[in-house]
Amino acid sequence: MRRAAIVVLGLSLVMSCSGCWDRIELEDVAWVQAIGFDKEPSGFVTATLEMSIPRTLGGAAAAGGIPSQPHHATISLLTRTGIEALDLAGLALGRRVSLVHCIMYVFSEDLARSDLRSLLGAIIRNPQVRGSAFVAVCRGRAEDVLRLLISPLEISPSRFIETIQQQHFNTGLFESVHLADLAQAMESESEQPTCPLIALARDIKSSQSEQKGQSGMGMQQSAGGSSEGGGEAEKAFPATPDVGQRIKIEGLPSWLTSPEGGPTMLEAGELPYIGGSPVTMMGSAVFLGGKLVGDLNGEETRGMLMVKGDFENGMFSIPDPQFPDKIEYSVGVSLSGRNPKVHVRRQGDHVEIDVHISLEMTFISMKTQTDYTDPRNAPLVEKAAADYVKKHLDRAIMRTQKELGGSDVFGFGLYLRRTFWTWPEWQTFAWPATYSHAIIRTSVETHLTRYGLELAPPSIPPSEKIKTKGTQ
Amino acid sequence: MPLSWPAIIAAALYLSLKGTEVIGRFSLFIIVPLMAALLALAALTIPIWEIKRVFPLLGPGALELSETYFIRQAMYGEMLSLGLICVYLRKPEHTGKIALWTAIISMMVLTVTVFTTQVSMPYPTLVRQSVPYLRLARLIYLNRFFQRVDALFVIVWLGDGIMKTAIAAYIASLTIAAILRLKTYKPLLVATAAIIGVVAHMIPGVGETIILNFDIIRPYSVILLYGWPWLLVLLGMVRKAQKPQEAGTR
Repeated sequence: MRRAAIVVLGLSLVMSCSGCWDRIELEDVAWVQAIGFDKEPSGFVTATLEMSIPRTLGGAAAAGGIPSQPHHATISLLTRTGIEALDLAGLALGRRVSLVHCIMYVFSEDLARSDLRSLLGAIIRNPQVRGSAFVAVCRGRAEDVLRLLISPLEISPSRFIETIQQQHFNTGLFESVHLADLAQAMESESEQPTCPLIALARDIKSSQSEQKGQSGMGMQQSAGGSSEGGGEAEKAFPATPDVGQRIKIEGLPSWLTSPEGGPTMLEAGELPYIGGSPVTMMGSAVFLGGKLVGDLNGEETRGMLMVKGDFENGMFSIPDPQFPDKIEYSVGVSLSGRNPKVHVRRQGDHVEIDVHISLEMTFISMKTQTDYTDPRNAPLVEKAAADYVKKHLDRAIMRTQKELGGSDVFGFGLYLRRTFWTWPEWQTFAWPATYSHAIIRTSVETHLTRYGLELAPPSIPPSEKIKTKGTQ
Repeated sequence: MPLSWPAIIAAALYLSLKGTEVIGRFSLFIIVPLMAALLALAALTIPIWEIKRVFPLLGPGALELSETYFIRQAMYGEMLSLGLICVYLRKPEHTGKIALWTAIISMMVLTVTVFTTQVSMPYPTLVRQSVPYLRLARLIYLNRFFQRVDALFVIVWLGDGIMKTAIAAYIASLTIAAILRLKTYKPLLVATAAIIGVVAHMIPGVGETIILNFDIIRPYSVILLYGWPWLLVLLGMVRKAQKPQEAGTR
């Protein structure tokens, strides 16, 4: 017993030799929650750090989550490599700046188009950086997005970042991508990288341009989240709009309000809405290697996620199979499914890929006159839903093959690798160059499994019903 | 002043001074958290696994794979070490059984390690990692709570480092003592520990350490791995041949 005590004491002493010589006091550190990078014409990079102000967060929690002072601050710095912003920011903040708790990295569209590999390599090399942090490409300037990366429902930007990422699983309208995934995919020859698109709300952009037109000044915002103060942008886009304030319809694409259109076919920054957070995340930025080559909209992103097996759940508004040309009639369903079947055949350079998606369907709304819960009518909705998903999936595949430089964002290359024995053979095959010529066939099936809590839509007198051939 | 390395060497020195019994007991103590950490890391990274990443199965090609296998096996000199210390074990007659269990456990650990890293980080990203398992620990994301726990794994790995240093110091001292025909190895331990510390600081940086490890130690250790037993056999034969002559001269 005595000997064991001596051993434990000795080991404790040995371990404590390391001491706390290099200790860091929490109060001496500025904890970055999100960092954004913008391209400058000179070749420099503007790095924007978004940090919480801890003392206001504590007060806000005590006051039921409503801070009376700005609860986050941003600082933007001109840098050569982006990462030296940590040192430079310390000069202005009076604290050591740390990325240990940084949960999001945002890259501007311009910067992403010019190749992210070197910047990403510099970031991921830093021991403070976590590969599990989220990434996004933003429309416009990353510094603007970070200045407003807040939600009226959350007290800190990091909490908002985490909760908005969860919408990947709830909607499938964007893909939640980690920093390590993006860096790995950028040097992969089997799959091409994607990451979510993030942008300021459409109405805030238009109000900015109006402000610029009036005063010649852009948005000035350095600290946000205040319920009393706040910047011009927050005033222009309040969490609760004023009475009488409406969504701006002008500028919306004409197809959006057509029978086949819908808001899920848009991207971040295009969504017509007012109130809530001034920042939205939707759609995917598509890369070829390290360069951004284009984007996929919300529905195309869902198709991509279904093929990758990352689609969890999402609500779809499908035109009424009986009245496909009438926009006032549609069927709301929830689709889910994570087991795509991908079969790849290769003969020499000729590649054929068959994709089969099977989804479970649940009725969530029936804005229609037909009772689709009737087993005789249910196949109509199943087919309509399958056709809807297939249409957007096929469009996404076609776009990546023809418009987006042959970017295999679906990861078909990972399946194709199985047909090779060695890496040199696989590398010689040059899949990124071959993807555009591959023949890809898709099939989608949906199975109606749940009907919700009602067995039929509200009854309508026969005299008020629209007559069609197929009405049963 | 960074004091971590003297602390590790001091702990290792204590263990090696106490001999195989204490090293053995310490290894029993440390193997539980080590294996738990290994399995926990493998299990917690399942959400990021992509099994398709193991293809193409033959990697760089059968020939290159065999060549690499031959060179890299020098990394695993535990069997040779076991042969060196078997006479000092409590029951030397159990050496065969110990060797078998060592091989089985090592195979399991290696399989889990290589498989987990390969399906979590694809080639060529994986080959660029200086500390793949630490990087892996930092990829764990289980919502808000369980995402900044890599420090826990580092503490466990520290125990492994201490044990490895202790065994290295013990075997080195034991071998030198045997060569010099000393009755005890213990006086040599302090000098060996000091040499370990000094040599570790002679290498200027991590880059040089990696080059030294991959380009010099691993390839040339094969010579030692295969040359050492044959050298012993040769020396034995020479000695055997000399003995009758010596006996005849008397």
